Amino acid sequence: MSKIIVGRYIPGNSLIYKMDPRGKLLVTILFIFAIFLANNPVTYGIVTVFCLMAVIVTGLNAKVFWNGVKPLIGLIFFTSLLQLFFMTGGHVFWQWGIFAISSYGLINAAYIFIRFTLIILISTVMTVTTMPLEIADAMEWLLKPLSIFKVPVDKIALVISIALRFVPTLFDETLKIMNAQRSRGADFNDGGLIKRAKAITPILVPLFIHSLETAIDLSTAMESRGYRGSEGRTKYRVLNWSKYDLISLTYFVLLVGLLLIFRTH
Amino acid sequence: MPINDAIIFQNVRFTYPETKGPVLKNVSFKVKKGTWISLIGHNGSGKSTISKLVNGLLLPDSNSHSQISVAGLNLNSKNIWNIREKVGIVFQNPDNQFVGATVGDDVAFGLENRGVSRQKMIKIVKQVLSEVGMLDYIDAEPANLSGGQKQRVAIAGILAVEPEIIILDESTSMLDPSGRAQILKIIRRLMKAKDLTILSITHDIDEASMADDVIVLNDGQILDQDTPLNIFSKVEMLQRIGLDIPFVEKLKLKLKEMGIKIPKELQTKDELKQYLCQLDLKK
Repeated sequence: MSKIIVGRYIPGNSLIYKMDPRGKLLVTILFIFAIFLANNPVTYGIVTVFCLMAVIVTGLNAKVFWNGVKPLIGLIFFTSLLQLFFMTGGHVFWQWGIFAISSYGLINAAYIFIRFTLIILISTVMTVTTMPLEIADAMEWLLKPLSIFKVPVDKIALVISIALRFVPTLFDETLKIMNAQRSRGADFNDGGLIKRAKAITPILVPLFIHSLETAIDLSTAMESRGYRGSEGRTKYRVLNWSKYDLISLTYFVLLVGLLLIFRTH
Repeated sequence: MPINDAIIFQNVRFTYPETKGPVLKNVSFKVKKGTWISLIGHNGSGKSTISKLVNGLLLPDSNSHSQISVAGLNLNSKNIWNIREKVGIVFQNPDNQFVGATVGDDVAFGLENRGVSRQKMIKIVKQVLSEVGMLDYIDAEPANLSGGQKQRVAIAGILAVEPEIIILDESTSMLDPSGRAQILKIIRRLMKAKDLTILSITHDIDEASMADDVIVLNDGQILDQDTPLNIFSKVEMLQRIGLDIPFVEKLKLKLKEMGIKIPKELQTKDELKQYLCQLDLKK
């Protein structure tokens, strides 16, 4: 249970935890783009080393990252195999009908494999070391420029923070409803597809009603505490750039620099 | 002229759009500044409606004779926000009034709405959290708190904006006995320290007996307003409208059935205990 309550966030106090979530979010997104700059063995090696260093710096167990990769392992192998069999060119080692294993295919399959794994690893580093709340704050900051186009960023931020605040509460409520229905003989794990879909109704209907009631209560409480829209509000929660963000940015610039030098054109 | 009444209701009538008859019929009462008033009544008697009228979450039926005045301000659509500055409500369900993602955020919510600067907010949040004994939990998330702790955070959030009136809208009804006792103790202490006016809406007899005055509500009308001791000695009236009676009165009734007459003046547990011990000596 407690695993789900805080999402996939795992508390720790290594270097990465001290970074500003905005910096982390930005560097993670840029890192993913940077991975696509790699196009030869040397650059792929560089990206891999940089990524693995980030993973090591988190100070977390390797199992955490394996858990991140595991759900997508099928996709990774499928894509790599497609590359392997259908990519032609270079020296052909083996051929059978439309299937062929060529030197190009082998290299490309390896590249795709590395690329996929690195993207998953680096986003796992981000989600595992940042609290969902901090990610929401970082997203608000990234969305801020949109307020020029009259996008209500403050309200969206409030919505995100309330949504995150209610994820564990609604999860608890769902479990309670499920147990209450089980105690009346409901069965959620048996039968075919249609029977199972039907079994969800006694969970969903009360959950919807509960959510709406909660929303009404919460809005009443917010109003009686003086909430009248985002205008004129100050913020209690602020984010601070620290020297660690400078380190991560330098690290990233270094990576891009090296990639551009060793890249083949 | 100093204002001595924190809340004045005069001939207030209120009808919900979806119900046929009025929920409140010509309700008039006054709450003196710095006192603790309990509002008791059976389910659906209109107690919670009164709490929502006090800070303008609901507006009374338009009627030239009716008037609601809170902290010296007449309730009307212009004044609503000024009144809400002075009234803090702790609601029933501790889960559904927790706005922030952490304790600190939640306490700061009211301050954010008032545009208080961040430096000041941090100071106030720490101070009010220590007043309710929750400073150690400043970064805790609501999912990791007990119901009683959440209600303490709710009280802290209200204290942060320094109201004159605190309304407890069945705030202790979802708590266990120890959580309930803690909350009431905190409120009692804060009331004295900060000269607050408390309007508590409750089913709990113990909570009602802590009040200076009790108002009994029945079917949208005020049946009685008196000190707790006087109200609770009117056993027949309380039983007729379906309310619980205090333990001492229950014991007195049982003893009466057994043929032991207890004087009517005895109303506290200690008095009754003493009387019963003396009774034993006489035999």
